[in-house]
Amino acid sequence: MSADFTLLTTMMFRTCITILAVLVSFVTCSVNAEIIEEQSPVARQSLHNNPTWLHLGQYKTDLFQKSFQSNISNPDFFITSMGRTDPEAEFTETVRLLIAQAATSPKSDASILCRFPARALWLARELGRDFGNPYQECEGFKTWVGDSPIEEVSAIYASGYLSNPGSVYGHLMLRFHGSNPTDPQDLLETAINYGAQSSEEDPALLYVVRGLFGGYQSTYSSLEFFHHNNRFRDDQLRDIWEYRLNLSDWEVSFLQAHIWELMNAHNTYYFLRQNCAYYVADLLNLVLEPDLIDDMKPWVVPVDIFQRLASGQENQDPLVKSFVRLSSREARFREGYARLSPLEKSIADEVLKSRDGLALLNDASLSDGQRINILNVSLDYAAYALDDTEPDSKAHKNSMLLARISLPASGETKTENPPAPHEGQPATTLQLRAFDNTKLGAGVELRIRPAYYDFLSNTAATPPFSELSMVDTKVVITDDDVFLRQMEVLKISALNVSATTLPEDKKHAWQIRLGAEQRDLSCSNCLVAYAEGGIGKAAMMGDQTAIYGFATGRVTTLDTNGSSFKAGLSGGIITAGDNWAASLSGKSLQQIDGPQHLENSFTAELRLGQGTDWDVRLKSEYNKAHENSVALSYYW
Amino acid sequence: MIRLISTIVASAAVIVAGTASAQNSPMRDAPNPWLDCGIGAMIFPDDNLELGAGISNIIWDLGTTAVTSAASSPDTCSGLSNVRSAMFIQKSYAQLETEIARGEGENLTALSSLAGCSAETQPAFVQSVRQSAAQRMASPEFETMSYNQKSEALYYASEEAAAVCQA
Repeated sequence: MSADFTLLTTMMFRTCITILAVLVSFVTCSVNAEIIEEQSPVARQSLHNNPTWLHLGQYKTDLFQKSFQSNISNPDFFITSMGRTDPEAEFTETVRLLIAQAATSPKSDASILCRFPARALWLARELGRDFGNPYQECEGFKTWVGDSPIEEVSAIYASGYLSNPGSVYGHLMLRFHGSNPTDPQDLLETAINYGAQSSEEDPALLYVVRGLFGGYQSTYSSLEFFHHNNRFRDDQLRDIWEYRLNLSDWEVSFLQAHIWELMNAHNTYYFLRQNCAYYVADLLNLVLEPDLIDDMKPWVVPVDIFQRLASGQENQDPLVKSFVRLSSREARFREGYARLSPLEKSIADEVLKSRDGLALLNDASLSDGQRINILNVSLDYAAYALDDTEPDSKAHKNSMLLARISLPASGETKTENPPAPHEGQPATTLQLRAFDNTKLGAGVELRIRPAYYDFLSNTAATPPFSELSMVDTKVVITDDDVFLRQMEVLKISALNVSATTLPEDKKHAWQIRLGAEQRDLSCSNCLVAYAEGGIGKAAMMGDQTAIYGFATGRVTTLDTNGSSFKAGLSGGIITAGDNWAASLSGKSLQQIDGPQHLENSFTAELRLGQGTDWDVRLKSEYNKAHENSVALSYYW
Repeated sequence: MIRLISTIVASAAVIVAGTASAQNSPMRDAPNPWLDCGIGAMIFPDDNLELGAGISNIIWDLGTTAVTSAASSPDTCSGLSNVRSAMFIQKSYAQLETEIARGEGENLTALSSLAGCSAETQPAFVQSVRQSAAQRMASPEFETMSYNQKSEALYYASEEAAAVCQA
């Protein structure tokens, strides 16, 4: 819809500038003639329609493949006034100016070579001409590139952040790598980010609405990687996954030059599709052949891009050379704590509970290695759990620092990577369920969940014991009826379980759900809109099992019982084995208005299979009717 | 009048204290990032890192409130090599503090790179930074120092330690 609106606007714009276009064409035709004379008929016909040229201008065709429009929304990005919709005019003028300015020395940053170094590099190759070297002649570009050449590029995945609506599905960005021999993880290298502008000024609801419906402009940005590293891993406690790409020297230079061009480009931001994942993937597709964006889906989520990257090949070489996790501060603490011996763990518990616990480290029977293990874990805990602004916590942390710095230098033990994002199931679910219902009889339920996962899903790099789904839609077909059972617009559950009993390592579990659904399993015509929220606690029982409980409130449109407000308790248990996962949950809600009925519901579900493309689920539910079912799920 | 005199006296005290601090620190390029470029008052765009911010790797808000010396300007500050170190320390002090205590870490390695250390000289740099940090952490004043004061102290310690890499 947005594309149609934009197209209409552009057509109006085109009409207004027709006269100017004719004038520009007239001015440029003499140079066109010079270039065209030198080219073969095939080249003459095709260069401005070449996919690379269209990619450089972010040109997309309309539904009928008849006209172009760039995703870049600011007209001043283009050289020509009709450049946003006319790749041929932009091509011709670019070549004309490159030739006209080729002999100019020194080049100003406003020259075409310096504004559009990627266009210049590509056209030089295609036309066999020398338009100059932006890496030597353009001051602004040289300053941005820096002194050391970029040798590699990584695609960066920051895992989902459930506390920010814009980051729940994770984040995608790029990172440059130079040839620093002393530091392969050089935090000072440049990272390329993409995001909506000025969105931080809006409250959450307006942010979501504007994000969904194109209310923000968005752009690329360039910043040293340590800013993102600190924020993602230490402040937001998100793991980062770094996928090093298999790019040639030319592809790295070409990509880098194009990113420089795009620093002056703006797009209209759409949270569901034209988001960070879309535009970073689009950037990579300048040099990577396999399409990283699935045109069959009207939404784009980062994990889908990484699945395509990891499975893609170009010239029989994999697109990804290697991948590695950069663990969050919380993950470092949890994994370090799990590695401690029982003795070290018992001392660490005391060290972390109070400053006085540090005295236990003076025990002569402890080795320096044991003290180091305990204090390294303690410092990770202090960094993520202790409040530095609170005097006691600050003093507690300072004591840990002093104790640790008095011991020899030693880093943390490297751990094995858990499954990477691309090794889990894809984001979208298509499910066919056959059921037998004590009130409705037998039937089938067709379900589509655009994104992303539930408690039993086999995803990777997602927060443990959490759920995140969007527009989860279920349609039921019985012998004599077809009806919508549920359209859950959003569901987020975060149990925030902890394997420790430490005082500051206790977060609340919470859940929100909103959408429309049948009031209960006995109903086919009692659809209600609802918003439901729960807050409570969760705890681990062993390595693979979590138990949780919520105080739950629910608001609905007036249902057939005459009730809109309910409150009560809900809870459950989730567990998993090698090839299966299971959950058992229950909810008991008292009507606050209306006839004060108590409504109870229960669900037991078992997932069989460990594949990432499919699984089988068995389910038994009660909510005013019993329903047993078996479902086949396909993930894509 | 009393308020005016108090203000003048307080301002003079701040200037004297700042000068004394600068004089106690090792030799540096001029201007000093902390004293002249307002590093402590620097506003990073990190709250909105997922937002587009254009080319921001060499730009930060050194608006008029942040530049404290009439001789300095955002242009002169952004051209200094040691400003990059100062910015990095100011932004990453919390991570650096932990890594210095451990004696290892990616932020500490980045700091040694900024100080011009090679793989061979990096251990000596780390040892020097650790020694000075151990002295600071052991002093009673450490618990009352602010984040900015700790960052500034680490900046001077890092500059001093950089000498072992340039020897």
